[in-house]
Amino acid sequence: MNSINKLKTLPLSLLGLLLFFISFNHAEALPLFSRQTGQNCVACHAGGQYPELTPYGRYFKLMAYTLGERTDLPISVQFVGGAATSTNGNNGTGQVHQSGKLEPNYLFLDVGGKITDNFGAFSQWYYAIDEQVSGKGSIPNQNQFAADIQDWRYADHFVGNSADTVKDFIWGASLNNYAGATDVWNSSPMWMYPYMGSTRNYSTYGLPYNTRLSAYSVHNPGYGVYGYVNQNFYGEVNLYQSGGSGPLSWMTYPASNSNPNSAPVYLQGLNPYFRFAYQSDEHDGHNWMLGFLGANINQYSSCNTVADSSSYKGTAPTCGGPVNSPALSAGTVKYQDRAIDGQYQYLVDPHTVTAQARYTKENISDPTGILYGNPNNKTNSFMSKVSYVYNATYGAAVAFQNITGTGDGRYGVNALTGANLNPNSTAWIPSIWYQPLQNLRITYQYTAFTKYNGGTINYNGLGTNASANNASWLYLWLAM
Amino acid sequence: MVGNVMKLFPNIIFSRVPPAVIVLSMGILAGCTYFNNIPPVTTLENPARSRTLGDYEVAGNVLAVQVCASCHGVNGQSNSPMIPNLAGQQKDYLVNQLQDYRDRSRSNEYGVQYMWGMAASLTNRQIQELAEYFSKQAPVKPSKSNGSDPKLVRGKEIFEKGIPEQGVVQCNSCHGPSGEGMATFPRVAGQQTYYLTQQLNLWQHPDQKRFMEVGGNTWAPRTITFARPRGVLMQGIVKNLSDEDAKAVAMYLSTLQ
Repeated sequence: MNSINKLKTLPLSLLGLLLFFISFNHAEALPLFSRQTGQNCVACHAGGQYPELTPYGRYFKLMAYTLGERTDLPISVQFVGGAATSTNGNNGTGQVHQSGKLEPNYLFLDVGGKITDNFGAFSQWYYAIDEQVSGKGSIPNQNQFAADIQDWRYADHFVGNSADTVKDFIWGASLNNYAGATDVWNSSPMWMYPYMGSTRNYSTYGLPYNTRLSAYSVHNPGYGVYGYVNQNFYGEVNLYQSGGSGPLSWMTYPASNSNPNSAPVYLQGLNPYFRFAYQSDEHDGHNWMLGFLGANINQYSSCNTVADSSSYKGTAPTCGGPVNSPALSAGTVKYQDRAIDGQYQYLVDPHTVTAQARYTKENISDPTGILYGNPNNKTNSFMSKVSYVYNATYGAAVAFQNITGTGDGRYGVNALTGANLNPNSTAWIPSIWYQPLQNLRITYQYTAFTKYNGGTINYNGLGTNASANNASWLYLWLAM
Repeated sequence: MVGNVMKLFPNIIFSRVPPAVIVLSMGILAGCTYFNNIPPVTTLENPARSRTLGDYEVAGNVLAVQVCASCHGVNGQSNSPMIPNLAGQQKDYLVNQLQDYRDRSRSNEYGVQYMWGMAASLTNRQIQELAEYFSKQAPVKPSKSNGSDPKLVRGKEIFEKGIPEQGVVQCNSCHGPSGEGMATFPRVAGQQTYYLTQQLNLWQHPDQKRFMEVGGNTWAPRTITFARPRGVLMQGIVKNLSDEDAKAVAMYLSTLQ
């Protein structure tokens, strides 16, 4: 879902979309996994609120998407489009005066599912639809086909007797391209609410900093192993490496050493990500999970941008040396993330109640001043969400997100006092949705900031209030 | 010349095209016959632990623990109120239900959403083996219940005596003296209360409809009338059962072993 877009004339796009869908009609183009199992989306998605997983959905993913019958046409498409408001704060995309414009945002192509007995894939690609920009700024990667979440895995599943200590054991290995892409709980960085944001206005994603563990937004190939014992104990370790060139570069396509709009992120060596969790048994429709996860990521600076939210502001990349070349001798920014997270679900029709929370401590060491002014910075963030769905049709959710951290020039400077800003921000994200069919969802989502960069009123010395970053987005999500 | 040219066309149309069509269709027919008679090619590298549906080589007991157990539990004891326990269920009943899901004649809501796909490509042998597997599992041991709960007392009364004035026949006349079932009459003892209530509700209000997607086909949502044709006998029996009594009897059944 991490994508950067632009837009085109709506009627033409919709017509194209329609033709695209119609062309698949005879081939029965259906959401991939649903076609493979013959089951409806609600089997794997809690109350139909994709991508949130039910216990069975988690099982399905951990068994490498292999349950069911291999389909002849392993393809799905998804479309997201709607109307977002612009903001007057500094979290927009550099585009002004286009509030409420109806526009397509994303087109996803999903391939994979069951490949062999033990091998399957979730392979998502997106087309960033060209957005019309008025005013300042340029957005990289417009009109671009790109690799989104990739999760190719092998898994084997052993079932014992009830007398055995290990009654049920799944182990597997994954090749993926985001730390956390492999996770099966929706309190984890890659899969937490809000599940979708508008490229028109990044406030729709929530906090401006660290909405995923910030280093996790690094998009790089990784591989690892995991195990799930008795459907209770889960453990996973992955290693991430640079993917800009070499055999795994397709996982970060189109980032390349020659694409000025999309620089590869250069990591030093192998960067570990780990995840442990305890999942309760299901009882009377209730289940819960408690987990611990973290990562150590060492990132080189490159002659282009280092993956960070400042690229959202539409600043043109500047480069003294060759485009995208890594600065291997300039040291690294070291991120160390440690998080605890938890999830609760109640799943008995017609009611679906789910809640997630995650608390993350991040240490950022940047002794050579690549990104930060201070050699050491810290952030603490708390992300949470609770939602209710009736009859897998009507839903409502609200998220509370909060981040605090040390002040640094990287977060900007107060125009009046000249003091460094800090990341301290607080956001509430309520949403309501209507899902007349399981593959069609209409959502209204609002983001309200009660604090932004350390202040509520005039936080930057330019008279900007936190609420100037508020955003609303009405959008449609269609999967076929 | 003109006459000759005119004469050529009928020749092409009536003598050349038909043979081409015949040869082509015969070719297709022969090809189909040939390919249809090749045994299905298996992709199984792991037949003892496969999650593959639609492959006759996967044994029913493998499917039972690798696929069905994901929801129904490896011992046939489910953890969700929505999902029925299969442990100790009557084999004939299980065979019938799996066949009905496979041919889509049993169409209660969750059956359509969850089971149509799972059962779609089961072979007769797999159905027999699955039914065998789950019927042999030890029945659920219900948790201790308070026998003086007025709802349970009412449930027990309906189970043993029925409600003659409303035409409700006592359950134990078909489902066995302790609800253990009998051939095609299912075990109801120790079943999930929620599941039993749902099924009773289906027979109480037999014409429930819903516009929904079925069998993983997001292209053709359609109106499904919920039905359990093999349980049509139940319609007359529970027609006059009140919702409260249905709940009471479901609660009572869940406490039986």
